[in-house]
Amino acid sequence: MYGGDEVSAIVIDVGSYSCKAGYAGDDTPKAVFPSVVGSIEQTEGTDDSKPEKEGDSAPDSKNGAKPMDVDKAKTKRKLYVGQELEFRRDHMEVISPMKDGTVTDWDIVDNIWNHAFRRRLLINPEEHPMLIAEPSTNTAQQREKAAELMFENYKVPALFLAKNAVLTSFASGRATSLVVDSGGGSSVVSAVHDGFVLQKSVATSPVGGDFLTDCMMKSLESKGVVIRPRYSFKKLEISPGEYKIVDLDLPNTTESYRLYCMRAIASDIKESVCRVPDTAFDEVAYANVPTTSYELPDGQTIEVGADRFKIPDILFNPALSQTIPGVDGFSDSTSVRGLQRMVIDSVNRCDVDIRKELFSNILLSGGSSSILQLKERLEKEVLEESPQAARVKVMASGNSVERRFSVWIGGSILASLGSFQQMWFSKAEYEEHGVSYIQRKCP
Amino acid sequence: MANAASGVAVSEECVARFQELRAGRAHRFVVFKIDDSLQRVVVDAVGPRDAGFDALTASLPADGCRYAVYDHDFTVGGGGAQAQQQGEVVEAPRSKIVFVAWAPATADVRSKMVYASSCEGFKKALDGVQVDLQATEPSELTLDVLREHAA
Repeated sequence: MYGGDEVSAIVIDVGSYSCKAGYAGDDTPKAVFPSVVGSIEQTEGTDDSKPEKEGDSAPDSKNGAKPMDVDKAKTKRKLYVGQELEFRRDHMEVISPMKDGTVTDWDIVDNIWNHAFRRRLLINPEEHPMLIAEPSTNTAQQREKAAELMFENYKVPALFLAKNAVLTSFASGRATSLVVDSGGGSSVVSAVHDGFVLQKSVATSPVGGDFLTDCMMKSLESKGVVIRPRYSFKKLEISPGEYKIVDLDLPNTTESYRLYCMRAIASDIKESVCRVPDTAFDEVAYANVPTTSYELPDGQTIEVGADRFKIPDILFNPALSQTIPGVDGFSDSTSVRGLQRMVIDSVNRCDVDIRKELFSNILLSGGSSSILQLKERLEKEVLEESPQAARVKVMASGNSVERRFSVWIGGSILASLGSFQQMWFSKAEYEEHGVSYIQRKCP
Repeated sequence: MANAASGVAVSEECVARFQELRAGRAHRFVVFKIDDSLQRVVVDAVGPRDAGFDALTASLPADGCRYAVYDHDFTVGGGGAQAQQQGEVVEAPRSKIVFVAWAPATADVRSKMVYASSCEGFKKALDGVQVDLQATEPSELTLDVLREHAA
């Protein structure tokens, strides 16, 4: 038991797209930054790349992540987290700690946590209980790894691992629901019953916001649109109000950094113009839809037509992405299902007694749930494929902040409750029972 | 214990009133709430034996979460067409205790979170609930829905 409710707990949710961190009890996370990091291999001593912008040198020198890098002699790389990623650096690759929604590189996660605690929240993790939101797909080994890192490296006084889907379900007032979490790197459907994730019901797909962004980018490219990342040009004012774009030659920029910057633009285009079509996308029917204009950072204005509807429809029909030139096929295309299919499959893997309840409590969450008309379309599609007796109801919080941060908000409220203070997995328990005790304390 | 359970306690009065309803059939329903300090579940209202389902729904706030138990009386047999054909019109009275988790969409996210994360722990404290009902709007909490769940 951990009895320290006088210091506020920290809630952290590292998603595949962004990391959300903040103080328990707050309405929204204080720090939200990308979950990808910049990495420069430090193979030769002479290759210590000098930051080319003055602003960079200050954060570099007091980079809290540094000691960690020194420890990891085998990787020998310097990682740039958060805003440090906004500056282009020679030879800097952009890498992600996750693949398909689960952690594959703990060293990066460690750096992200460190950045969140020491640079953004400015706290000493040894003084604060930590509530970590974790994906439903996390394995027992991954949970133990997270707990071990927290207790050994950060010396936290207490820890709790809460499942994303459970937090979303609770934050909507439901102990039983079907959570459709469409995030950046993946979409996950999980049934929650009486506060437990039913593991056999969990369905995942690599089609999330990042994939849609890639499709948008490739589709624009195929139409001849050139997206210029902001770092690659200068704007010169040739006369008042009139600008000339001058391309910069930066040969040491990595392909992954170029892509990262282009994706940021494509993602904004997606968020600004896209809308889920009412029925399955049809190339012919949408050929003449009115276009919407969008101004790129370099000043050129593009017109987006059918893609406004086609891109989000990929959530329901992943095969549609294969009609876009340049989009990679799925490694195992048979397992990639549309959202509606995932919902039906997930419900069907649950006990017959609770299926009706699940169908009428479908909760939409995650960043991609903000796409217009997604809720309506999902409801319509599920209704068509579900048993007749089921009353299908899809819900999303009307508040876009609550929808995007539902997991973090749920964790924030939970960790701030006086009654919750007895639920933590404390340092003393960790020392007495070992790391595997996390499975008992946070089932 | 469910994942991410709140640890909210249950007052003895809750269990006592529930037992009076279950074993003594002294009440039709009991409404519970979590106290203002968010530490424990306490009794909010008790419905007399002659009260109906409408009285229960009327005692739930439109924009606040609550838990409730309701003693649902109904009959089985008799009504079925097949049974009538065979001349068996035997109506058997039955009753089931229904647990209601009321979390209207208009309630604030804090109270939704606290009620939902305390629900499993509270239900465990009440021994003898037979039917579960979670409702987020009045249309999900009607006598028809109740009958459907209890069937």
